[in-house]
Amino acid sequence: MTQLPWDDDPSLVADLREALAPREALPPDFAAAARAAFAWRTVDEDLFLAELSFDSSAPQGALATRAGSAAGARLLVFDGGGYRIDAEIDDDGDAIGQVSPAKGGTVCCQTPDGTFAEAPIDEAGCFSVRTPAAGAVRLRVRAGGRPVSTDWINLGRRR
Amino acid sequence: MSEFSGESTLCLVRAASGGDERAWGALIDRYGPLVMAVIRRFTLSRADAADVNQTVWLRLVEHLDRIREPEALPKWIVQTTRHECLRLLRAGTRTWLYDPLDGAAETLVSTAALAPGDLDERLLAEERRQALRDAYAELPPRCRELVGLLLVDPPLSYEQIGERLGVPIGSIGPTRGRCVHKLRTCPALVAFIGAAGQSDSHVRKEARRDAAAVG
Repeated sequence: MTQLPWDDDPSLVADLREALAPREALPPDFAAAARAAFAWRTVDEDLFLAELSFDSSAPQGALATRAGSAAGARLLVFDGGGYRIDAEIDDDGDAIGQVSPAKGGTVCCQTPDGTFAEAPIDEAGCFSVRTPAAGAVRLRVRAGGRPVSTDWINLGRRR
Repeated sequence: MSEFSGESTLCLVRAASGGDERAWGALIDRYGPLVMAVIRRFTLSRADAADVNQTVWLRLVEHLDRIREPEALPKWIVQTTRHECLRLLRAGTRTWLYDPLDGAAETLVSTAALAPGDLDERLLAEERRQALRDAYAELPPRCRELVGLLLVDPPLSYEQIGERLGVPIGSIGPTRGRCVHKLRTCPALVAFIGAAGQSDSHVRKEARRDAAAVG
């Protein structure tokens, strides 16, 4: 490919021919999961999204893991809606973390199928909530004001 | 072809963002094969691949409102899918070694056989092909028909093309020029060509970082 692709019509047409060649579609169950994801569209305008800002298992995040932290634990940080949510998912499948600023409330672990587990947040903002053995999850925090949902993360299947 | 085949990605994103489930389905039709193509570049179990796929779409649902430049969607999808695949591969193969002489850092050893440079070239090619597909899908129907006929292999003569479209031969040359120009200046492609040099070096930088982290 040249520096400026498609600088003449024949190369554009040739590349387009290649691009329009039949491709592998999503398998039916993958497509179904993709369609079902739409149900999680945030319809509640009052809901904040806390975005994933650090993930110790990310390709670039792994080396930043602090020495001495549990080998199997995955550290996550979410920021948004005026909150910071730190969570460590340990080998037993518990998400142990802290919400700051601390306002009490509840934290809920959601899967694409619905609520998996719920737990209280103490006065210091600390919580411990169960997570499923595999798949996509997110945390939803209710602490008085607007609820906050984190980005979806994939727990993987090797715990 | 679905009712959305001529819609721009911008229209689909806005409609889906406003709650139109059929527009969401059209986005899946348009970009599902791209997710699949990226997943195929990695060695994942089927269950892991299913989790990656689900995570990508869940993320996209949440980010529909924030997509300011729909032309950047193919890149977002490739990067998000790639990131989730790499993350799983690393999580599955990593071993933590603690070096007592260097308490500040742990050494990461991975047995994953990745060739990041090669991989990223291929992912970039996927993005480029997707941009072409999007631009083609956004052409007006008559143009799409003509460009489609230009792609037939072995090539059709102008006489054959004129017959199929029901237009005089003399008009095909100019129409062809106009349609290819339309294709070339479609936002999906312009964004890609404009960002090509930049994204190239960006991807290479990431590839180097991955290589360093793996090695």
